[in-house]
Amino acid sequence: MDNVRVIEIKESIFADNDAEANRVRGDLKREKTFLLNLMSSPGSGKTTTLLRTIEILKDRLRMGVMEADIDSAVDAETVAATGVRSIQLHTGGMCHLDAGMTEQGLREIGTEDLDLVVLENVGNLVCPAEFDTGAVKNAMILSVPEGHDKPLKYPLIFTVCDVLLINKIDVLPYFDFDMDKVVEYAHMRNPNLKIFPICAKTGEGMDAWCDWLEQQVRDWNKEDK
Amino acid sequence: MHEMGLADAMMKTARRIVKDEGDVVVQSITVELGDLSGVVPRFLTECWEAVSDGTEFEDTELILHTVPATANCMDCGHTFVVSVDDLRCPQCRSDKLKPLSGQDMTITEIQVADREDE
Repeated sequence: MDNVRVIEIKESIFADNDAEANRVRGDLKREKTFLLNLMSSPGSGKTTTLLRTIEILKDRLRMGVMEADIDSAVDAETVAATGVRSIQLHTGGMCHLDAGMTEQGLREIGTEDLDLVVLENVGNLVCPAEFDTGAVKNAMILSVPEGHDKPLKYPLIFTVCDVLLINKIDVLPYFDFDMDKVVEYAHMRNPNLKIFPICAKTGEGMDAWCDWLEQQVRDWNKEDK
Repeated sequence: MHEMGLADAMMKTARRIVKDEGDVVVQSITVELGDLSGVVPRFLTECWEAVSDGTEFEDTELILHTVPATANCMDCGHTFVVSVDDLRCPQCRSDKLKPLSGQDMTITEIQVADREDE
């Protein structure tokens, strides 16, 4: 084999995914649809938080939900029962969604008549943080039983998120969870992180979170100046 | 499987980079892994073999170089090379660190050869 040459570059391995994510965001902007990427550990209350959010916002915004899981359609069926449009995405064994899979999902759900699409990412604090899905904002749920040290252990996800929901605050008296510490640690990773303590089960704090989300959606979807 | 997604992302980026090179065989891809990227090089190599199997990258060697990470202590201001086994400031032992470098995974070189006509 002759004519061997070396291409010298300096590109992140995520360069292609990032470019695709930017394209997805551009399409969403044109269609006036807001995509929220919701991430957390398994069992943090993602689906319950989502159901409560749908309850509060479904008369204020036209919503759709994309449930990503490695397998099963349990979550999509639960969400479909609320009456909002929902689809199930299977990642085929992958522990996260990338921009390409998100784009396919958006095409399947049909975004032209939706104000807000929520992508419930695979339960995992590592991989989803690395892959830009094309979402307008990234949200993360951390639940009280998981502990206040998570921003130290999983720094990246706190860096890439715009908003942190601290869920299950009703069980605070039973856990060694320091609310001041978690806020301090999270802001160390990301000084601009917006934080809402909530309890999806009792509804505490949910209005503040939903008002914030609605405002984000309206800001994104309004006509360009 | 964290490294599986990374190998897949890497393949897509590499495919775009070599697209304009014509009919070539990609002999190797060199990637720099920051010490704080959270990647286990051996796992990435194994995942690369799995992901590239049956593709045009099947025989492409993946060459990995780890690069040191630096961080800044938010308590005493000391800047130092991070040891991944001890995520504390060597000077004051604080764990409030701001990573400065070493979180990236970067493709630095791709070696290609023109395909010989059979």
